[in-house]
Amino acid sequence: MIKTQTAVPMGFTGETFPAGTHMCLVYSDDAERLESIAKFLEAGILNNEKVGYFADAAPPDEIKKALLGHMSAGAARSDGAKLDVRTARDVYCPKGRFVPGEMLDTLRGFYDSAVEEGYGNARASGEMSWALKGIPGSDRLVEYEALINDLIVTHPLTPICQYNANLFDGATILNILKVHPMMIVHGQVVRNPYYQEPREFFKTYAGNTR
Amino acid sequence: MDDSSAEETRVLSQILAAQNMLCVFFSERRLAEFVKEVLRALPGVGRAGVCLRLLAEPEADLGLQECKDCAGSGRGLDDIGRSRGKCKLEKQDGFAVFPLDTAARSYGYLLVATEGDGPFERYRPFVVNFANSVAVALENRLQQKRLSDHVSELERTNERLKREIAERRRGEETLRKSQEQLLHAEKLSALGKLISSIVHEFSSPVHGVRGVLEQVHEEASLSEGIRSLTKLGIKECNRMSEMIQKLRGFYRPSAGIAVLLDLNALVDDMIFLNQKKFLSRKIQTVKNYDPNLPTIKGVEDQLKQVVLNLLQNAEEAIPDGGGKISVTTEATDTVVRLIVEDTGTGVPPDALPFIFDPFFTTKPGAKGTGLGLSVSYGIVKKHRGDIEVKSRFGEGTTFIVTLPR
Repeated sequence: MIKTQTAVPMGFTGETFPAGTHMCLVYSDDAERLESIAKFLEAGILNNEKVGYFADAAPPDEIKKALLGHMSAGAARSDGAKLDVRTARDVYCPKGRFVPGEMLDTLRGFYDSAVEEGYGNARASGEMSWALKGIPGSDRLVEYEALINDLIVTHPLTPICQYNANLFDGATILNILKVHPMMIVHGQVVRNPYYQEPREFFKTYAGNTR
Repeated sequence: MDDSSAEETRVLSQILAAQNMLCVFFSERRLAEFVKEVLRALPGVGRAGVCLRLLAEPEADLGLQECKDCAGSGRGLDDIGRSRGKCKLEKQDGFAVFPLDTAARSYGYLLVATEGDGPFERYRPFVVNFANSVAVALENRLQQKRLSDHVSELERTNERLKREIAERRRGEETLRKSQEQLLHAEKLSALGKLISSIVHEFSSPVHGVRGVLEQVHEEASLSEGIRSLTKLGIKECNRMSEMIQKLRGFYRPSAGIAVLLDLNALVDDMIFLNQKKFLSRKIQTVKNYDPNLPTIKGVEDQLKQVVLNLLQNAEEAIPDGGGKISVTTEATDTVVRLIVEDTGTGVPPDALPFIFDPFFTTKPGAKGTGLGLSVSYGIVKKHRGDIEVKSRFGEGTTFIVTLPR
């Protein structure tokens, strides 16, 4: 395990937060979202972190180009290659089915590889709209999000999960809020008053499969 | 901080966070679900839950929200308690009503089931604030929809304006072409009158001079030198008569009779006439005839003259190194087209507008009278057709003759 840095920059805000801060970004303005996420990823690149992005709204090449366009010229020119953009479905459901445990293993592997490759830390962001496409197992999304909070205790990568308010229903979003300790609203990171520790959450979650 | 204060702080934080989240909800239905989930989670909210009722607003398409929890529906605050037994929530012992009002208007109301001795009353002020925020979110939605409708209307208007401008430009172009044709016709008419007077004035004197010279030529006492001169004089008089006849032919309307013609055969004959010259000048001819070309009605010798003019112009435009003349015939439902394209020197752009003017020529020296295209234009027009030219200076020229079927 990496000797954890006590604080990592977010990029879209001047504040720093402990590595392993699990955040959700619920958005309706795509331009605002893209700018915030680009700055988040750029901050990771400049901070010598392994950076990953899981795209669903558009092909990876298009998303990468759009993200690099929001970064400063220096980071985009010299470090753009370090931004690994993949298709969300390939990452979350490589065998055509979403299994929370397997995805958590993927995140562990991502963090461990960052250690082996000499990075200072790791961060990632995913567009979660893949879960609305009827992929088997996608109904376990909230369960998976809750379990990330246990994962990051031993593998403190910094994830931002993106939820499009135009696509996800309000009830799902409220559940998502319950499993993210921090949320990003209009570029500001705020502590989420709805957050519940995983054990507490699973006591009342209707889709509890633990 | 004691437990109740901590609880109050937690609830307040949640409501404030929920108010922050209202700004990201764009769809009215998602907003409704989110609002109900937030309120259900509050302490003291009864099991019957929350009912969100929005007043019908056609222009905003907010619609009447049928509550999925109680399958009830109603319109105004007066309907509460009188929803014909459909709303389970209204049958509860206790429920609270929170209007969704802004300064501008009312959007509906929230019904929240409350437990008799529960702590809900403690949080009522927070919920009132939250309801106000929901109303503001609905108002923002309405304004957004109105703005979107205005933008769509502007876009439609813009498209309509573009179409009207394009239509006007087409009309102006048609007018311009009509004016050009009228001007050309007037030029020809004026020229014809001039020629008529020239023919009339010069014909007789030339005839008279020739007659005198012929008589002198017959005189036996003339020396050989003088006889040769008179012979030359007669020859020149004949040449002048011929030229005068040609001018008269240009002016006088043709008395030719229109018959059904095979344009492919007519064009082929004219190409054949020029074949030797084309070959000697290394000019390749390419024929693209429509095998199913319908017949047209026209005066044969006049249309032959047009085709001949076009071929000769094409040949003369091609420089000494050789080139290509392509001849195409094609038909639509209403017209037949003859297209003659050459790889010659092309027409200078500033000369193109005058190309059908009488006596206008780009040929150097005395080559050509400059009447060929002008005559062709007149003939085509008499056949109720059209002739147009496209040219790329330095690359070549294309003439398109359109004739009615």
